[in-house]
Amino acid sequence: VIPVSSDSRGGGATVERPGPLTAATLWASRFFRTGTARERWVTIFELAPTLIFLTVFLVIPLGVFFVYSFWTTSVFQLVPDWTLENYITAITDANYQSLFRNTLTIALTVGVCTVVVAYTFAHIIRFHLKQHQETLLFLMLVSLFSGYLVRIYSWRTILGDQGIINDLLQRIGLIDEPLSFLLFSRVAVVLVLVNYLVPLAVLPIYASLQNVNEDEIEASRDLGAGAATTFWRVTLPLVRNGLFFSFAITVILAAGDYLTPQLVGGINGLMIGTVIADNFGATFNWALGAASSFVTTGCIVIILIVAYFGFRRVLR
Amino acid sequence: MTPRSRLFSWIFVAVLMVYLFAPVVLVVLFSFNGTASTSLPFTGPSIRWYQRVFTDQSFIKGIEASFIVAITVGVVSTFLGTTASFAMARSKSAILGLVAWLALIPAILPGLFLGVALLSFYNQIDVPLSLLTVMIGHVLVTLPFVVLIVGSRLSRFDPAVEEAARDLGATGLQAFFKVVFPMVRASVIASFLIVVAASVDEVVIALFTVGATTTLPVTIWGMLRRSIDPSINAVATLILVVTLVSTFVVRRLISPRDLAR
Repeated sequence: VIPVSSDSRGGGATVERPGPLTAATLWASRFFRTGTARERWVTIFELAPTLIFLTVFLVIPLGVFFVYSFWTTSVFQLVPDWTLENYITAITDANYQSLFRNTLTIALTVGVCTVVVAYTFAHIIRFHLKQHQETLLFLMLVSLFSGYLVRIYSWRTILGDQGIINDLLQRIGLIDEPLSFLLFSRVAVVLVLVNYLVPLAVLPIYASLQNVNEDEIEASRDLGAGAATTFWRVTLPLVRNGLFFSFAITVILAAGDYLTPQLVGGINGLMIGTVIADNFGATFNWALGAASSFVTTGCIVIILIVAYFGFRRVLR
Repeated sequence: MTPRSRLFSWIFVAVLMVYLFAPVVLVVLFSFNGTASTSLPFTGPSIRWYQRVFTDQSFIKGIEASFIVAITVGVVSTFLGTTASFAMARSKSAILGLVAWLALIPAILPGLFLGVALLSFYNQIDVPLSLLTVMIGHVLVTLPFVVLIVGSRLSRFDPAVEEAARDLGATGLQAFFKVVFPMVRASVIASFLIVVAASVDEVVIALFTVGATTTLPVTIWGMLRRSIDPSINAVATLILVVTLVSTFVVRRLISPRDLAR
């Protein structure tokens, strides 16, 4: 019997006195449960650049950002004070409270509208227009990559007082005065955010609809359930995770957006993102800006937890 | 399926497409508009706004900066994402799961938060803002695309193929370059193109992390706040050309379903 040496297959443990390299490999093998020693090293080398990059440029910056939320800003300087003052201001200040209310209302409206539109689209291409699903899904991708800033800006030409919609409505004589609520309002912010987020929301919903078998739907119908019952009790519960994921990502991205409210929101459509951006720019109050970001994140997390259990309760 | 539900389906899809693409189509149309007005009716086709873009120094500098950033970010992000995907495909240990989660965080975090967090970090370690600081942010937000696309390909790839190549006498490097890499090549190129498209279009993080030399979308943002200048439509159309050409090439390389996971 030929003794199995340490570097050919798996067990470095057969070596009597492990050298430093073997010891390191053994240590690594506890974290990377893979086959041979060579494979383990390859895995470590493949992973190291990304792990280092993410630690230095994602984890540490988020840490610094969190620390800043406990400091204070005075005369364009950050002072390491360690205080909860910023959080107290962000939570109790009346202006901030109304900003948070506005932001969360808009984000939730956007979340619901986006998921309904995205689900309807995904359902249609999955079940009703099956032979065109690749093309239609591709159009969603085209839309996803067709310019973020450009699209927000373009909505101003559509919704403005001299914009396409008002112009059209006046030409056909439906209205005499331009509808001024179209631009610089909450309506505009919701319209633009849904426009930008629908393609993103379609992808996870479509992916989870792939798991819905037409046999299951037929079985439900054969057992006497109506179309509506089948939809609510069979189809939707099967795509619950996709729906929730889309809802979550839509709410998060809508609540954190700041260019849309700034370009089309006006005063009624003002959101917390614009104020956070200002705190990190013109008004220079980084500490308060950081605290507001974490309060926003906290609110979103609470909403999403409630939504998660809501989804589980309703769709089962 | 009844003809009525088919009709309803087509109507819904058509309305949605108009809603999604109207703003894009309008920007392109207005970029060829003869007058400075951005309302109907159109006045004759003209390329004067394009001529203005290519004679305006701030636009030219912006185009150069965006080009440098996008290519660098494309190479770095694709490299990091691909190597990490290989590691993740091979092993299912806890630390790899952690990295997979870390890599996806930028996709579910608003760009605003990432931007101001990076700005805080650069400030804390006294790094002056430049195109390099923008690139770092762009690598962060584009990594999830690479991990999703290449990872999705690798999850359908049988690791035994590599072993077979080795058993047949290939060295590790030969097995990688002649057998393993060709299987994921299309996904890697597709990721690169999507990363380039996303970087060329990205403005939120760039606004916070850019130095004196600004990328094209940041230049546009600066102009948007000052006035309505129709050459913005022309330069926006140029960005669209880059992102749309990338998307169409990606279509040839991978199925759109690879992204819907």
